[in-house]
Amino acid sequence: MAILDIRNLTTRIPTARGNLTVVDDVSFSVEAGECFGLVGESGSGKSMTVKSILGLVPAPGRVTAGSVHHGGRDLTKLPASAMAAIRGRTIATIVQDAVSALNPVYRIGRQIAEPMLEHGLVRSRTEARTRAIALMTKVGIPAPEKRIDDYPHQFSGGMCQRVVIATALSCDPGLILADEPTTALDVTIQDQILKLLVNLQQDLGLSLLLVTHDMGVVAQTCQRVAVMYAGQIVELVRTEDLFRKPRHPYTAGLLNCVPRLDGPARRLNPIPGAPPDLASPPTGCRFHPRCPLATEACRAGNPALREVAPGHFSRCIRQDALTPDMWEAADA
Amino acid sequence: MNTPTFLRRRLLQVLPVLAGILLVVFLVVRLIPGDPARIMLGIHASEERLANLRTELGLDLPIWQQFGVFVGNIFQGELGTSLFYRRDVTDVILERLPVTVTLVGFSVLLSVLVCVPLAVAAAMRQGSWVDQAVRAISTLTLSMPGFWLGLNLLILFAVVYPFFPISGFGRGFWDILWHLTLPAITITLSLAPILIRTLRASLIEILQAPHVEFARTKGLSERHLIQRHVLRNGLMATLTILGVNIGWLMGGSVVIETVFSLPGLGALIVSSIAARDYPMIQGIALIFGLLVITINLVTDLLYAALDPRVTYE
Amino acid sequence: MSDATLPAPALHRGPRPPARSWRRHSGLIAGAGILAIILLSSIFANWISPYGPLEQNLRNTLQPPGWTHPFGTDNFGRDIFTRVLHAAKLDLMIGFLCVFFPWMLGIALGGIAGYFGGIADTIIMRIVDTFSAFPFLIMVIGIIAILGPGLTSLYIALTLAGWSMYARIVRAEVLVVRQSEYVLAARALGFGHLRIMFRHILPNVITPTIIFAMTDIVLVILSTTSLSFLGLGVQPPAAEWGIMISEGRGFILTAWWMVTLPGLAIVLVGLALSLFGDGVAKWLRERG
Repeated sequence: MAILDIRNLTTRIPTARGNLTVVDDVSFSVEAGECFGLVGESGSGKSMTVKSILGLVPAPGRVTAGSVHHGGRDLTKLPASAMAAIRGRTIATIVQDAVSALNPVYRIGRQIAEPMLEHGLVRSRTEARTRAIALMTKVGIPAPEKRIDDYPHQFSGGMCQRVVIATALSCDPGLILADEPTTALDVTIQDQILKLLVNLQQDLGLSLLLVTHDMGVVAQTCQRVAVMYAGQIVELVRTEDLFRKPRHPYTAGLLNCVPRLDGPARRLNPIPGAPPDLASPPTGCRFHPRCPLATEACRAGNPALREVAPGHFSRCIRQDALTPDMWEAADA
Repeated sequence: MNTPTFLRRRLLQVLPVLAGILLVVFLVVRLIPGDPARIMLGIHASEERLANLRTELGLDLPIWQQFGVFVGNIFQGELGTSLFYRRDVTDVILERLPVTVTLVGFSVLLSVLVCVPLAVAAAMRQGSWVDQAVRAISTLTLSMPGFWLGLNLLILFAVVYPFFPISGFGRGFWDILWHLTLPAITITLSLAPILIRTLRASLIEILQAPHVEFARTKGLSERHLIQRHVLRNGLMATLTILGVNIGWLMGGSVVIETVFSLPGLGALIVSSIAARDYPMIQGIALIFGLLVITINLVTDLLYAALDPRVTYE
Repeated sequence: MSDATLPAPALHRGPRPPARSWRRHSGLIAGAGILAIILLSSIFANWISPYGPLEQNLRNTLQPPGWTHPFGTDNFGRDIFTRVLHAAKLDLMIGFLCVFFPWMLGIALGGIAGYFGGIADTIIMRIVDTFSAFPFLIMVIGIIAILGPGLTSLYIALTLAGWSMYARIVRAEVLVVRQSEYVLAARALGFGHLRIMFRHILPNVITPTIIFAMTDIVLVILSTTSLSFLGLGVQPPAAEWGIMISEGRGFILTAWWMVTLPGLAIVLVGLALSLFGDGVAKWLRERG
């Protein structure tokens, strides 16, 4: 039973340069208890997808088509008050910059307890405080009874992220949307927080939609993953299959970009070119200007996301021509 | 935890400013061309009184000792005798100080009550007609001199529709409030352009801050969001703006007290300058300086109370 | 190469013609226009109005606005419209001069501080800090308190209270420009300090001061009228807007036009100057 079912979601932002289609016909679902990864470069539309799910697309942008089913309702059709009742309650959010996400003038205990009080899950301040201390323990904050009265500026970056996670858990949500939760942290802390998220997810049976640009994070945490490019999903499959045999040139390129410590030293291999201008995207497949396998057909038609192998979806019409070394530079 | 250190440090910072003000006021009278004793006592003073004052002020002593005498006198509450009123300067000032303080206090309160909601409305509905109307009106009042605004308000609401009194301070809480309404409205209208414009910009910045976005994801109602995460942070901005403009407010009170014939320090300094009542001018200058220091101190302390990051350093 | 391979002319939209400049600079033009009208009316006041500014007519006191006296008469029977026109001359002149003098003084001192640095900079900036610590109007009143009320005191007080901001702006700009290549080149060529300051540095630091001066002039005019209203600035019986309003104070019960109409002139000039000033600032910024 999918806890989140997104069909043909499209979000547009009108600008002086034209309409930017930041989320283009995106469809995927997150099963209960699953960790689903949404991966792509900056500007690929992954954060906008999260905002579209929450109904927090900044004006003048808005969701123009599609549906987001959750709890038996289509979130895109709900009025603002109904959405507010869902946010923080059944769908919680973890953000990238935890330090800035916390209001500097309030104690962290109050900020953790805020969703519980707002959604009426507790009846008194004392009850909220007890729950908050329990949550702080669960996310690994030492000496919670003392630190609950501290202010955000007294916490380090990693600790702030734990506070944010505790806040997300405060109303026992079924789904957590995590938008680049570890990007702003040191590498060692990144690892700790990721492990924490995975453990929490398994212990509490949560679903996790993890948005990231880091393939390594995906490999470590997600069961299934969707790769986004220029607002579209270009590949959608189980994580192990993605790494074993990617079926889209872009994915292959991303995997190839990651520097490796094992094996002989070699040049870094970024994908040549740059992501397209969303106001006037390329015709046909959006990736074709940068793709070594591009043909006339790629330029012309509008490739849809098709199941090219069991449970494996891709937009590439030439995916059977993919080879493991297609992105290797000429002078490796 | 670090509040006592912060307090101590802040109070210590007051001292050099205080010394500076004392020095300036002291020098001011000495800068006036002529014999200081004669300036303080007036042209009709007898030689005997002049001699007495010269010894009292220590005018024959070197200048830094004179300063010591001056400061000593001040700490004894001895500010001299008014040439015009023929009474102790201290007494006259103490009589009139409450009027000025009440006027400024009431005006600040009114300004905040009027300008904050307007700035919030303008910031929330950026670009809408509400926003544009608010900004247009504040640009308009920016060009209007305070004394003219005040007089026109008097004409409209004390003469044409005689609802408010034309002058005076009143007795008793409600009577005083009634007398101070038009003056306070005048000051508010003059302060509004700056206050609304700066506050609106601050609020727009706050509305886009990460903590507001995160608070939204917690499912807070718009009302709770504004109250807890926007206004509270915006309050600090308001405080800063008011603190910066307090000097301007005091200058404005001088004019307003004259327009509405309020028996405060502002009107007093004007009449004293016209009457060349130097002891009085000196005394009022000192009190104004002390008031500004006090208000700055209070503003800083309030700010520290609101923002926990300040005391943490 | 045969002609057959020449591509068909592409259908493309050429560069847009520049938006009509005067629509973009409408504020500047409107402001300048209003100011010009006011200035010209004040200069030719004697031609526009048959009355003199000081001409009393005690049989015609406190007349409301009408055909013979568009703004009415005051308690001495003087025509208010005439006095408003003559006051424009005085107030605009004070406004201009009391921005010009601080501007020059501030540029000189700020330039010296920024260019030579060292002890000159420290001394000058300490003085600037001291002057900036006092609120503008309070300082002006204070200086007038020492010097005694009057027109000269007003000029001196406004100049002394106003120069410090210009000094700050110029010093900041000079500190930046001092390091730039053309200045270093000039010094390498052995040009004297004065020449470098005037021909190389000055033209490039002036723009922000002019932008500031535009807002300053409104402040100065408002201060002038306020001080004259209080009796601390221009002295009666001169025709000055603040004085006129002050004289009207005693008659608000019977002759509101003595107060309201001269004030409208102040507001009009203030608005025109704001429009003009904002327009000049925009124009200067676009010039880059």
